[in-house]
Parts: sequence; structure tokens; C-alpha cells
Amino acid sequence: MIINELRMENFRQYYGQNNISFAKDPEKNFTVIQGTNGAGKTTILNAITWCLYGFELHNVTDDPIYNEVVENETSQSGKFRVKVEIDILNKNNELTTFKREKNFHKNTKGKVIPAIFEDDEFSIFDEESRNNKRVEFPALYVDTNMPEDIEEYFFFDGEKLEDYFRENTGKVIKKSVFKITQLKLLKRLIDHLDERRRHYAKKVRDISPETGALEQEIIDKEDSLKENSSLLEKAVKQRKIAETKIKKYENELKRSGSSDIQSLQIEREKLEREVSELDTKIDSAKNDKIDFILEMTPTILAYPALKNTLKEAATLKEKGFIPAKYKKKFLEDLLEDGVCICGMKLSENDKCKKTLEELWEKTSNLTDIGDEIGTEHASIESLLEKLNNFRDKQTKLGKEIRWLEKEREKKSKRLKEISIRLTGSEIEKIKDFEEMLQENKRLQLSKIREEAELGAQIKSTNVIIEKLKKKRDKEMQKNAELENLKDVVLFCETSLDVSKELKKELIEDIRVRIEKTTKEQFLKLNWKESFVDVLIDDDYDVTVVRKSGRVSDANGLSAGEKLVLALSFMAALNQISGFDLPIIIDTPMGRLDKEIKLNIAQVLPKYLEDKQITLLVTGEEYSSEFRDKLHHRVSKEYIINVVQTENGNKSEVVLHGS
Amino acid sequence: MALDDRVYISESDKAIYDRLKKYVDGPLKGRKNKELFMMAMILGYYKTGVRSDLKKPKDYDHVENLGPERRTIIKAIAVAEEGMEVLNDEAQIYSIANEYAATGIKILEGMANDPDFDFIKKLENILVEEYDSKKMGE
Repeated sequence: MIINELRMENFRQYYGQNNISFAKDPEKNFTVIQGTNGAGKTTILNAITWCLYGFELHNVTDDPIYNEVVENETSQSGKFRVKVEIDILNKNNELTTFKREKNFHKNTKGKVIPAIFEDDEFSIFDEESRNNKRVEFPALYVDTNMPEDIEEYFFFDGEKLEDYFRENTGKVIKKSVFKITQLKLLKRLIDHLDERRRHYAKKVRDISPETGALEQEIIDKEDSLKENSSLLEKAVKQRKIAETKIKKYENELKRSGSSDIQSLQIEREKLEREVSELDTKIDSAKNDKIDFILEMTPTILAYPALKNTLKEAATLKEKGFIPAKYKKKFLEDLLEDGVCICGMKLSENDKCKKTLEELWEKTSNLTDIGDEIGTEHASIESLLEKLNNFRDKQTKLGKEIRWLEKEREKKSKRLKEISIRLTGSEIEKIKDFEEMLQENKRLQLSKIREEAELGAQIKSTNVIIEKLKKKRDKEMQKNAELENLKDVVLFCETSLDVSKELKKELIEDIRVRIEKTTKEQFLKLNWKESFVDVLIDDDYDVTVVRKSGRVSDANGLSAGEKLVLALSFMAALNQISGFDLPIIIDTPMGRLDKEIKLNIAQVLPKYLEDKQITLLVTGEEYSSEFRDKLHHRVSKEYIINVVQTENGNKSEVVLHGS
Repeated sequence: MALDDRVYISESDKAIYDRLKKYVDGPLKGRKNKELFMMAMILGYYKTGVRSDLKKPKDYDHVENLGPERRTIIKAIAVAEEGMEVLNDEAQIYSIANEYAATGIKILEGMANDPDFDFIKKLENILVEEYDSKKMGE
């Protein structure tokens, strides 16, 4: 989407009709409008926002919206109007015209008043869908295509941009991201679903107080889950801050200038690594021991039973039952079939039959399980064999743990000594760094514990909720009225879960995309090539990584770097917004030094290459050197002339060179 | 009670097994069903020698999953109770195991939940005492 033309009539400094035609060539996508301070550069931004939204949104003064010359020229009882029209072209080259006008009249006392009973008249003519007819709901059309909420990410003030990261904390930026990505819609959906859910919970309570109590318990648990999740998030954030500070103070100690302090800090870092490795080894050795003890417990405690089975098996062996010459079941089958093993029919040979019957009588039932007894015998022997080295292994595992713990203790002791030495340093700065370092380490530890506790609570609450839900569902099935409500309640619950999950995923996806685009833009725009990465964390705190590996937050950058970073961040925000709108930057170079301005002029054409960009600049900003660097991308250049007349000042936008 | 090829626990004990396995921080957390069942069974057998009837039996694991060594121990205990002929009766073998586990799970829970008590240390002491007194290594 690009602006084709802006037409202003009697709007503030602009007397009569002033038309500005904008760059349309994608290869020469820049329009430059140059004017002195007060000439009406910001007024152009305000003319656009007034036309679209009915309000001026940039550095508004108390002066009237109409031009002073037209006011003075208008006779008593006379009328005049203020009008702004914007022609916008979509990607199919179809035109939409936005028009807002306001009529005024001068009363007999010479006072200008808005035409009575007349609101601003706002209309849109859309060539695309309505054959150049008037759009029925113009405000809705604007809200859908270019909402006011996100206006500031397309039409912005360069002077303020330089201070963007100083004035905006991560929290504020996060809010902007919610705004620009329309995530607030999802938040609204979640709030609405939650409200409906509570409404249905009340209905359930009205029908069955018992089931209602269960439903309420679920909601209470979910509230506590939400609270704990937010506490966990806070604890993680606090831990991360503590960790950053720890790193900072460690670096300060290493860079303190004293070789003594430096070597102590280096030794400490080595010791800490070793302690951490030892902790892992201790955990692993302890787990090995636990596994070993648990594995051996059944065998050792069942030892008498195992020995007994072996003894019984030996007795059976002695008796010749195992291995059995023949199984009792086999004799039984012969007798049942009435045929001897030699093929003789038993009915024809009484003696043979009697012999077989006597043999069956004498044969133990155990011959049938002789094979199994044999297998168990072997298995028991192998189990008991494992017992042979039980004591050796148990002692070895114990010794290993004790040795590791002793080593850890030695290193911990040395760590304490180092800390005492640093805290007792005569250099005040070192003492302070060490105290802050230890304080943050204590904080880090307490936050780690808090995270673990909250994590466990969240996990157990989740299980309780699941159980309560199962119980509630069962109860609801018992009552026909509740059975009808069940689907609605479940729908709300499932939709809530899905929406929350979706929100979480979207937030992360958006953060990753903003980080990626900001990095791409920043590395492309930064002329020094001294940066390698831009990182944006979950809280939208922005840091940049230099080639040297040093990490700085946005406020640690030079003014020019800060501006480029803010421009890159803006580019990322308006790319993810999904709105295809042109960019207008008011005084893009603000208070920057000449050299930085030239560097920015050099890289600016690379900024958002596929967008129509308009720069509102002062003469100082748009120096001949600056112009030379940008010239090949500029297709329209205007100058705002301020003309003094007897009726007051008026500004005129004229094409450069005309 | 062994109804088929599974080991059973009382329905009311399922919560104890779950707690030990999922929520009580300690050496039993994250262990498999077969390990917990075996620990319960052996403690029931060793500590009390008392078998408890199951209330509302609930299947807990497949006999096959127990593995040959655990099955051998279970059979040895059944033999000690009922004699060698019990090996002919799988249902009886696992019924004995189920009943010992029904007694032992409470003991296991008590041991695992005792805050003044290092479960593994205590178990280790018992094993060492048993091992040495019965001269198992000789």
C-alpha cells in the first residue's frame, strides 16, 4: 500500500490547496520533504492522522486547525473549510480516497466557530470493491486496514526514536508488541472465555451445590496455578537478573587492574567449574548407589527363601524327581489313552496296565514341573552369585561418594577463603564488587529454590485439577440438567486451554521473528560492521553483541547506533504487524552529528527496501552530501516554503527545483 | 489373588504408589511400577511375614514385565510359604506376592516419608546386617 497523493486545504500552515504526490517507483521509493523547523513538516503527519482518525497525533499545538490566512481573509458571517484528502493505492494499483472536511464560519463578532450541528465529515471512496463508490462505514474501514493503535509504528518521529530504548522499558515494548500484533484480541478472547466459564460454574452451583463446589474448587486451583505461574516467571526473571549481575561483577573483578585480584577471580571461576563438575559426579555416584541398594534389596531380604528353594530342589534331585525320568502327566496320558508306550492296548494286558497305574501312584506331582524347578534353580544360583561381591561394591560406592564430597569440601573452603580475601580488600571498589557478587549469588540460589518449589507446586496443582475434573465430570453425568451443561463447560475449558497455549506459542513466535528482523536490519544498516548479533529476550530487553564478544544493552550504544537499532526494531514491528502501510519518518536524523547523519544517509536506502518511505527533513539534515548519498533512491523532492503575507504566514509545498 | 497374568494391588493403595512414584522426592521417585511393587512385596515379607487381603484388586503390572530375577524371588517366597508344589500354580504364586505387597506398601510409604530417616541409608544398614549375619558372601 502506498500514498499516491495528499491534498491539504487550509490545514494549519497550509493555505488554500497544497498537493503532495509521493514516490511510486519501487526502485526510487523515497520522497523527501524538506522544511525549516515550524514550516509544517509534522503538520503533514498530522494532516494524515486527522484525515484517517479524526485526531492529530504528533506534537499537537493549541493553535486552531485552520489556516490563519484563510481566517483573516474570511469576512464576518463568511464560511471556509478545512479539508484533507489522501489517495492510497493498493498493490493492484486500485485507488481509495480518504476525505475529511470540517466547515467553519465567522460570526458577526469576527469569531471563527465550527459549523453548528456538523461533525467532521469523513468519507472514503473505494475503487477496489465498490466501483469508486462511497464506503458505507468509513471508520470501520480505517480500523480494519490501518488501525490507530499501530499508527505510531508507521508514522514516527525520528528525534524521539533515538531515545526509544531509554524511554521504553522491556515492559512497555512488550505492550507495544501486543498492540501491533493484535495479540490483545487473543487476550480479550481468553478473558471472555474465562468470564463465560465462571458464569457456567455459577449455573452448575445453582443446580447442584456439591458439583458446583467441585467446579469452584477447580477454578480456585486454576487461579492459584495462574498465580504460581506468574510468581515462577517473576522468580526466573529475578534469577536471570542476578546471573547477569554476577557475570558483571565477576568481569569487574577480572578487569580491576590488580593482578592479584584478577588471579583470585580466575582461580575462583576454575574452582566453581570444578565444584559444579563434582556436584554432578556426586549426584551420579549417589544415584548409582541408590540403584544398587534397591536392586539388591529383594535378593538379600529373600535370601532365606531362595536358599530354601535351592535346598528343596536338591532334595528332589536326590530323590530322582529332577531331572525326572518321566513325568506324572505322561503316565496319566498313557492311562487315559489306554495305549502303552510300546503300542500295546492296555485293555488287552492287565499286567501292563497295573504296572503303569502303580508307577503313576508312586510318581510325585513335582516331576511335571521338573524343568521349571531346574530353571529356577539355575536362576537362584545366578542371583546368589551376584551377592558375592555385594559388600565390595557397597563399600566401593560409599568410598567414592565420600572422596568426591571431601574434594568438594576442599574446593568450597578455598572459595570461601577467596571471598573473604576479596571482601577484606583495602580497595573499596573491590570490596563493593565482591559484596554485590555474593549478594547476587545468594539471591540466585534462593530463586533457584523458589523456582523448584513453585515448579513442584504447579505440577501437583495440575494433577489435582485433573482429578477434580474427572470427579466433576462423573458427578455431572448423574444429573440430566448438569449433563446438558457439561458440554458447554468442557467447551469453555478446552477453548481456554487452547487459547492460552496458542497465546504462549504466538508470543514466542513473534519474539523470535522480531529478533530475527531486528538483527537483519541492524546488521544491514550498521555501517561499522562491529556488531554480530542482536538479542531480544522474553521481556523485550534488547542487547547487541559486538565482534569482540562484548554485550551491551541498547542504552550502551552511541547515538547513531541507537537510532539505527530503533529503526531496525521499528522495521521488525511493522513487518510483523501484517499491515502493508507506507513509512513516514519525521526528522529522521534529529540531533545526530554530521558524520553519523552521512553514515545513516548511506545505509538508509537499505531500510525496508520494499516500502514507500517519506522523510520529513530539515535543511540541516538534508545537506548536499546527504542528498548525494540518497539521491539515487529519491523520486520526489519537495521544499516547504513559508510565505509571509499581510494576513499571516502560509506554507506551500513545492517540488524541488520548480 | 492373581486373576490372570498380572500382579494386583488394592485400589485404595494406588494413590500411595502414585505418590511415591510421582510426588514424594526421594529414591523412589520416577521408579517403575515393577520396582515399587517388588519393594513393597519384599518389605511385607521380610518385615512382617503377614499377608493382607486385597480390597478391590486393581491390576498394576504384567507378570512378564517383572523380569526373570524378580519372578524367581517371588516364586522362592511362594515355595517358602507353600512348598515346591506351588510352582505348579501360577495364580497362587502371584496371589502370595500381591498379599505381601498389600502389607508392605504401607511400610514402604512410612519409610519413604519419614523426614528423620534416610531411606537408602536405613535400607543399606539392613542389607549389610542381613548379609553379614547370614554370611551370604561365603
